[in-house]
Amino acid sequence: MKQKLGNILLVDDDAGVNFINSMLIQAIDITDSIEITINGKEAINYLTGKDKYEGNEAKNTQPELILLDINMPIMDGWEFIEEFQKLQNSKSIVVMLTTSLNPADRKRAGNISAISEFITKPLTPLTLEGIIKKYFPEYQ
Amino acid sequence: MFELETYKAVFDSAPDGLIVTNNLGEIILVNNKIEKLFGYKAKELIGKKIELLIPNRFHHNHTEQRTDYANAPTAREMGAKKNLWALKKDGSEFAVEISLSPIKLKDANLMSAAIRDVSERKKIEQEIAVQYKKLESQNKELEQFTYIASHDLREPLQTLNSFVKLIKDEFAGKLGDQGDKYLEFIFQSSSRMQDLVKGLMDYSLIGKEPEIKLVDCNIIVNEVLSDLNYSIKESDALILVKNLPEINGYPTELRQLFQNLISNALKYRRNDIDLEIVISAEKSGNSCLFSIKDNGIGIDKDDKEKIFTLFKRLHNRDEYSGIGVGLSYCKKIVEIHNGNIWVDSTPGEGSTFYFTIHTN
Repeated sequence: MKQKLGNILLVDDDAGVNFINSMLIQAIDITDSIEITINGKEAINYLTGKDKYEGNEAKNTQPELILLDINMPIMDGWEFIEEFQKLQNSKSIVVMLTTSLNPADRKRAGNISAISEFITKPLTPLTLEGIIKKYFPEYQ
Repeated sequence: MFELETYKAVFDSAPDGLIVTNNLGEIILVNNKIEKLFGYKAKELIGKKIELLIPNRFHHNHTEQRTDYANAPTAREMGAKKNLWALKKDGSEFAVEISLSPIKLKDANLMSAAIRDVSERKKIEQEIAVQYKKLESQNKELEQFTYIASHDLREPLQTLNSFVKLIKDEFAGKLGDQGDKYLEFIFQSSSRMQDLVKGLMDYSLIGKEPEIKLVDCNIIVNEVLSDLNYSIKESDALILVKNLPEINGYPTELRQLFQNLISNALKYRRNDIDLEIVISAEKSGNSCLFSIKDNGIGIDKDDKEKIFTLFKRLHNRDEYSGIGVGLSYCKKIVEIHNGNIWVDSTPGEGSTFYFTIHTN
């Protein structure tokens, strides 16, 4: 049986984007656990088991891959990255920044080591498979 | 007190060019700086009329003015007269500032002039003026662009939205669960985009009304309150309006300003306490400081600037609706009235929005 990722975390305030990305992930069958959060703060809470994720550690599987949007209320993608980098296990998680086309964002993302990939929306099956091949060669 | 040599050294080391003339306008003394500024040796200037150093086109006036001035001499400060020009030996001109002081001696009335080369500063001032004009026209172009773009985007968006609605109405339940879901996402996204594009267009239209009028803020606020009557009753809010001034401004925009700030206070209220809003104003000199104080949910320190950014939202869409334009409108409206807007707030206790409007 093929080995799958323990969890993929989606961070986007647009429900439609999360829906499509979930479908793409299910289509290539790379994980059985997708967690959806709608802003950076919620994502940090998920990663640290705080707030509504408190005491639910069995369910809060740490993700191996995060798909992160930039513009979100409460805590945006850049602010999330700042908090994320303070977490102990941040180095073992692949962060993919997904955004609409904006050259300035791409440049800024290039200077942040915690961001592994910068993907222009919409995410396609081909891009996602490429990412899996690159970062998780043993999982295919 | 001092040796003559000391006086001469001070005279020569002065940062400005110094010329002394007699009552006929003849040069009798110049310092080193004058030689540098004009390119003449001192001995070439002594005994010559001061007009030698003034461009031809000013001669006629200057001779007259000099005579008038000699009859009633008063000191004149540096920079008191704008757009003065001086003539170098090589025929070129440069911008100067000149201060004049009459010197009354026992046997003669002399005139001392200090001359400062301001061509560098003039050049910079001109560059700034050119840049300012350019910026102003680019700003206008940008607003025009925003208006046209948002206006033209609305039509196809409207069509898209109408057809999605038609499909929803006619085919709901016939497309399978997934199909219905897809349609709902399309519908929500196109509706949201309509709101955003309309928000952008309204933003570009602020301040387009050409006429400034005398506006009684009491009347405007009362109208806004009666428009918001339903939400006020629903939230059981107590609203206290102090006596507000009459100001000169754009009536529609000022109304929109109060409307946005008051409806924000209604929207971001706390559930555990009755909402109280106090609207007041204070005149000081040429400006008027308004405040709208509430006891609502408040705003984090980090968000105090962000809230005025176009499309910036602090809350999830399911908690508070909206597209994040209200306070950007307020900022733009206050700015076209040459004022400022800011907020003081304690999270969990309330916010006070302040804005200033210049009254003349």
